[in-house]
Amino acid sequence: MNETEAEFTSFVRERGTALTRFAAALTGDRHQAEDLVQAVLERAFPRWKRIARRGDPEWYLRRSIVNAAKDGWRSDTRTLTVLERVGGEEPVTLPFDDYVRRDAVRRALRDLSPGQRTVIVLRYWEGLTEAETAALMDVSVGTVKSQTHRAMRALRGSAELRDAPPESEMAGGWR
Amino acid sequence: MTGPDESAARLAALAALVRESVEEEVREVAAPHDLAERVLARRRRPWSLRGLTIPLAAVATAAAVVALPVGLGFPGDGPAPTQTAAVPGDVEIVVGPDDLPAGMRPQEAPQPEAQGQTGAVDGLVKRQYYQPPEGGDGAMVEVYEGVTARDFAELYDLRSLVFAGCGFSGRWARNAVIAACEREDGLLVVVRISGSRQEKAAQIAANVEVVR
Repeated sequence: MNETEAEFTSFVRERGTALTRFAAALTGDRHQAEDLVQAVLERAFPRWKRIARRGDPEWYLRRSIVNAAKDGWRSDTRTLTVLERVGGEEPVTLPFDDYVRRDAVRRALRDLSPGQRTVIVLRYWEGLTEAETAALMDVSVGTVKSQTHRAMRALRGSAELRDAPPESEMAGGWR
Repeated sequence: MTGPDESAARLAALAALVRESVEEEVREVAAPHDLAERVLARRRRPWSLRGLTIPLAAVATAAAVVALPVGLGFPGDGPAPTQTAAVPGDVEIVVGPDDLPAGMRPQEAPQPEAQGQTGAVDGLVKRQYYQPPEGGDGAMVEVYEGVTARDFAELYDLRSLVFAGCGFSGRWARNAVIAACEREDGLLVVVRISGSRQEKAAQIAANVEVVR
C-alpha cells in the first residue's frame, strides 16, 4: 500500500460511517447509501492527493454525495437517474404515536423528489443554513428557499401526515 | 396565537419531526468495515472493456489546464510522416503516418507553470505535444500507467466510443476533444486535439504506438 492509499484508507476508516449516514439520510436507503458512498470514493480516489491537499476532503465528498443524491441515484446502473418514487406502502391512518408519526414522515420524505429531499435533509437534519445548503448543492439560495417551501408543503399535504392531530395535540408530540 | 405564528410553529414542529425521523433512520447505519479496501480492490481488479482485460490500478487527474492551442480544426487532411517523440522518458510515442494532420511535428513540452497547470498528474509516463511550425492548432498525446479509460471517462464525462473500441472520447474544452484508449499492455493513451472531431482523436489514440 502506497502513501496515498494509506492516507485514503485512514480517512475512510475514520469518516466512512459519517459519510454513509449522510448518504442514507439523503437517499432514504442504507443499501443505496453504501453503494453511493463507495462509488463516490472510487471517483475521488484518483484525485485524492489533490483533494486532500485542499484541506477539506470530507466537504468534497459530501458535495459529491449531494450532487448524486439530488439528481437521483440508482446503484444498479451507477448512473444518475431519477429515483422511482416509493409507493404502495400501507398508509398510516392514526399517527398519534411518535414512532408511527416519524415513520410516516420517513415515508413522506421518500415521496419527495430527490432534490426536495436533499434540501430538507440538509436544512433540517444537518442543520445547514440556506446559504450553506446552496453552496453544497451548487444552486442559488433562491432555489433552496423554493425547494424547501415546496417540500414542506408536500410533507404537510402528504396523505399520511394530513390526518395528524390538531395543533393542540401536536404541541406535546411534535416537539 | 396569530395565523403567522401558528404557521411558523407548525413548520418548526414539522422540521423537528423531520430531523428526528431522519436521525432515527440513519442511527444504525454504519459503513462497511472494509469500505476502503473495497474501493482500492475494485480499482486494482481487472476491468473488462469490450473483451479487453485491463489491469486496474491507481490514478491520475488529468492535465487540467495544459494549454492546448485551440482553433478551427486541422489545416489539412494529408498524411504526415511518422512522428516520434523526442522528450525524455521510458517510452517513445509513435503516431501513425495517417493520423496526425499534415505538418504537425513534435514540440518541446511547454513549462507547466507557463501553462497554468494546476495539479500533478499521477501515472503520467510520457506527454508529447504536436503542432505545425506556424503554430495554431495542436495535439497532445499522453501515456499513462495505472490509469484506466474509465478514470478519464469519469473525469471528463466522456461517452463510450464505439469507433476506437478501446476507450472513450468526449469534449475536453470549448474547442478541443479528448480520447482515451486502453492498450492490452495496461498503458492508457490519451489524445487531446483541437477541434470537435472526436473520431479523429479516437483514431489517433487507437493507433498510437508506445515503444518501450
